[in-house]
Amino acid sequence: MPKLLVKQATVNYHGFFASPAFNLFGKLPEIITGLSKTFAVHNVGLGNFRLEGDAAEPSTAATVVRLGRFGIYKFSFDHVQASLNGFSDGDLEGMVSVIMAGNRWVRESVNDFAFKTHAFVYSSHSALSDGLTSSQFLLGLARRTTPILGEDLGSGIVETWHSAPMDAKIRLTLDHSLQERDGLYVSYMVVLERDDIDYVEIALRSRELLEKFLQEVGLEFERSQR
Amino acid sequence: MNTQIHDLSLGNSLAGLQHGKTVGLVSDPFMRPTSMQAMGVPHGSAPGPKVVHSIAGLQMGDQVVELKATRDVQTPVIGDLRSLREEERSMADPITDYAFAEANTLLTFAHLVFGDDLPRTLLAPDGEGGIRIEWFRENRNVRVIIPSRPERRAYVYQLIGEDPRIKPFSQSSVVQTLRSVILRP
Amino acid sequence: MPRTDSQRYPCIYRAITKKRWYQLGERRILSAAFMLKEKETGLSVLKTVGCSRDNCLATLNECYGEFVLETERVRDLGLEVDDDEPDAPNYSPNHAEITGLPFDDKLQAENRATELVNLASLYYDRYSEYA
Repeated sequence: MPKLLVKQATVNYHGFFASPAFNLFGKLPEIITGLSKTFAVHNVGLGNFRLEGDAAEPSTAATVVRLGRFGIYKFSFDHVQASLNGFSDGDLEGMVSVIMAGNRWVRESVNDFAFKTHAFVYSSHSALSDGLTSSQFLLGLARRTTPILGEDLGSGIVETWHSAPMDAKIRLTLDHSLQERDGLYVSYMVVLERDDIDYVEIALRSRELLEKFLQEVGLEFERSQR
Repeated sequence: MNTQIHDLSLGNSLAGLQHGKTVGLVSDPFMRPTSMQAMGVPHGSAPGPKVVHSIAGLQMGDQVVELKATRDVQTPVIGDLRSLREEERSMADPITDYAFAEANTLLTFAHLVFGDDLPRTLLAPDGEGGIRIEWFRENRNVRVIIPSRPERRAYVYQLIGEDPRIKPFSQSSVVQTLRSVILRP
Repeated sequence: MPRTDSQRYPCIYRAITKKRWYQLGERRILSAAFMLKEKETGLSVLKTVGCSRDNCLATLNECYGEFVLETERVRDLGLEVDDDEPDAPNYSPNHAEITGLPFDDKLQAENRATELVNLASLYYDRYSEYA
């Protein structure tokens, strides 16, 4: 089975609020103090913080905390975000713990708080093992009947479905990479439309589902790569 | 601009729009003075001192410098790990550099992930230069065995009641095992 | 090797050669106390004890006390308890070994250690380390 040799990968988490964090408007010291204490175990100092946006436009304002190998955690008044680039399995575990800790602080700090939606988004650019090109691989997939008005270079897949075990909407794209020559691009989105989720469980199941899907289409990650 | 769920479509629809970089870390435009005022910084204040990260940076002429302090906080478990190494130093098989480094990395990582939620960590030498790390909760037990040399292969042992299992060692496997065995209610 | 007479020696004693084998705060014996090392044929035990702060019957350099186990209960685990061979160069009439422990099969080795831990209890605290 061809292997995906991951060259670039990112994971993003977005948690969208049901209502904005009105009680934290203009409370930057409180936000920084709260996030500082939340991530104290990472030896967070003021140098780890970055402020974005414009206080005059609350929707753009954000407080970003850099957490080393575990990426960043970003608080905006209407959502939170965590991001990680080029990571190991251990870094992913750390990112999950960052999300859990950060979101716990948000719940405790924002009046009448609830999440509306959570979204986990994974994307990667990979080469294929054994000198296989993306065209060769994609041309080998079952074809749709859409006409091709030229030389067929192989078309990717976009699949959308509901996962009952996770109660989540899944969107998965597999296509030519525009960054990795002859490589494959994977985009995988898991969207959960509810307030409370088990972050660890969802992270685990999401990964299993991605690997299962890739196996179904005849691909697997190279060992210890994601 | 509010980021909405539909904005997350990492579409491959147009060439050049594939995201290889982190989505969402949008560099917002230059922060205007009103933003600085909102932060309590007086309008028109001079920019803050430059930060240097090495002694060489001090040789900067009249450039304002400020040493960036790093806080190296030793957690209790790392302190205990160092004590273990000292206790074994005069033994026939002291803790090897390899075992110490692996344990140090693992325990530092576990502390970062779990913080104060990490249960009490019990350390013991294996008598051959390696380190055994254990956690307990009721009838549940997780062990990490770090041998004296990498060729011997570290592993993770878990026991839930009467159901034992063993798995290859990695930071993530230890974290996952601790979450599923020790930290689950 | 001759079997240890469990009628005469209903209990056997595992010398605590590493202080950390017993964790005071948890009142817990760690599995490290019952794991076989690479060149060992069995876990060393004593058939009788009477050590003091100043005198270790096993003549060990480091000994913090003993754990006690019932001889036949160790045998019930499928292990054996054997005396030293009388003509062995380092023969000791008071020394025995728990044998039959796996070494290469790590899962089984850890399982046996768990079982022995469950049978053992702290018998003697030589330096009142654990008081």
